[in-house]
Amino acid sequence: MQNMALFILRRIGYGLLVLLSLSFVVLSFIRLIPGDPVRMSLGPTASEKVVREVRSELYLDRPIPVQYFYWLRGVLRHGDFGKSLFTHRAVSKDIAEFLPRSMELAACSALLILVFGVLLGTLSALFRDTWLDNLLRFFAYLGVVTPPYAIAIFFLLLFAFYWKFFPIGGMPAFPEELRVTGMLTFDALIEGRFPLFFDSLWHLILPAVSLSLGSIAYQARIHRSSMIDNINKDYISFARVVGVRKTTLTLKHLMKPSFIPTLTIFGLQVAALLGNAFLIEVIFRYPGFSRYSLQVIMTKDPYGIVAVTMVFGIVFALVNILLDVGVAWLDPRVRLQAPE
Amino acid sequence: MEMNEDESHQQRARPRLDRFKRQWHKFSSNPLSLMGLAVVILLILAAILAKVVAPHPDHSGLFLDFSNANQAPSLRYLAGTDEYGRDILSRMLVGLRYSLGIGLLVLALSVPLGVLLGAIAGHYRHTWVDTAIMRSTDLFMAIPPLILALVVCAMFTPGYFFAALGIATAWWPWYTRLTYSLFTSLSNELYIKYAELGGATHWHIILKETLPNAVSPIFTKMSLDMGMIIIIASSMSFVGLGVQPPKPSLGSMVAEGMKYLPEYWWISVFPAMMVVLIVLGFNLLGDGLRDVFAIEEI
Repeated sequence: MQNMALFILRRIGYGLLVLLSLSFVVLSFIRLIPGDPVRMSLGPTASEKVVREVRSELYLDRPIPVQYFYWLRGVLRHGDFGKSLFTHRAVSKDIAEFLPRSMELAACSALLILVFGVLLGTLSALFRDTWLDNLLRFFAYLGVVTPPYAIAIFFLLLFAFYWKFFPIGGMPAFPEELRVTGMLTFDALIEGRFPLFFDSLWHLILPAVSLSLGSIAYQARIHRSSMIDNINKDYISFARVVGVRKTTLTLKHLMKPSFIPTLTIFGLQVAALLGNAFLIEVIFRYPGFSRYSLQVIMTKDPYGIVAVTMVFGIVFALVNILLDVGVAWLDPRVRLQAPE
Repeated sequence: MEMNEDESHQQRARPRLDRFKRQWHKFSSNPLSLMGLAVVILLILAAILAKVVAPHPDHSGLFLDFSNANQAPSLRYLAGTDEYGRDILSRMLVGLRYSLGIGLLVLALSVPLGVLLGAIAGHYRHTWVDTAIMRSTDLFMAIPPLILALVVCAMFTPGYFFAALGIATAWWPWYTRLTYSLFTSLSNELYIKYAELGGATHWHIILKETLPNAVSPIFTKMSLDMGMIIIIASSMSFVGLGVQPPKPSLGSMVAEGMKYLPEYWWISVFPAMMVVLIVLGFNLLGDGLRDVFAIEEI
């Protein structure tokens, strides 16, 4: 247990080190390339004096290490990630507004991936080489090779335009008095606003399904092959021979070890969700962090870009740490090793 | 795929050819792999001959014919026309050329760099060189590849080359990692030990002894990655950070068609299906190669 705590601490420390270096690289990179983000943001009509003032307010007229120092000081002291040239307010405010919305979408998708990926993979493995298995594998392959934006468009055409079953995009407005976590669906639920809860859940389904379908397919493939690997192991045959009940055998002896590769892939898929959410949020006009990221990236907003890379880096690192801990818990043979 | 004893004795005269025949036999026994190969060859041919086989080659650039705008698929326009009256099929064929081209460009930029660094780090294991190289891969793998690619690409002028550069920035660490693990597992082979004892130079061991034995997993990964890279590249051109209009790219065609859903669905749907076909072909091919070489770590 002590080993585990040490491992987690080391990993967090190393993650922070990577993020610090990354933020420095990104910030320097933005400064080194030609183009003036301040001028771009204020437009050609802004006077030179105003541009100069804004530039100095953002420390863009200082040497890179000085600018980085001020930025880091702000982050460490007040959690202040600088000011966005895109929304013209503190980047931390933007994150607080948009990130929970994306987390809501990602959580929905992650749930779908875990439940359906494991369910379909298990079905496929238990009914191996039957028509059901072949059908599931066919769809799994199709799901893997179809980019998320293509899935989104096919689903939009089918379920929103043709059958008019789901809304074509957007989200219900967020009543300010509700804001607790910033996740609309969740906040509406805990405040007991059920019509709003269902409405927002309804808007969430199509984006979440489009986002997760490819990952569900991949997850099902991995879970199938991992279960089939284990079905043929000696200890399963032994358990069967000594008369362990079939449900116990499947659920306990077969499922637990089969979850090891599944969990590894699940972590990678969750991390991939964030990247893939870009186009899904654009297509469904979903007010999330990925769409915001895209906008700051396109406008070359320096502090916006650094904050975006930091947020994605933190989520990525957390997912990876959780993953290693989860795998170590499932597989007693794994010894946790952190970089020195 | 082991051969029995006598067979290997008889065939020792031309080992390379025999090995290829054996691998081809295994590859071709799986119809899906053959299908993948066929799709990839067809796509490459279509891309090379795009301007020849396209029914309306001039529609791939600046071309306006508003009287035929937004036409549904018909015999004249097999995949319909877009908002400017341009033939979607012709634009898809030329867009295919850019898609495959960007896939190759990304691999050409990232694979040599990634493999070289991985080889060096793997050869000088447990030294500061190893640490420096492998820790810097962590830096580039700390955020999702699409986001890194977008950040890098958006810093420069949007376009074909910088999109490829952006993706390559996110891609090389995977090859470094793969080559590193291959070199680590190969380093205990006897022929490497002999070469070291025989006083071979470091470069000789890296390039002549170890690398040739690490080639098949690397090639297999390249085939499997093509699909992924093309998806990322088309996602980037979807948001305008790829091939610039009026040149066609599959991603930007899908994006432009979004405005006209659901009435003129063909503008988006056919290019999207083309992306699916490309990725399908390369994935089937890559899966087939992986089975032939019996590679597990990719």
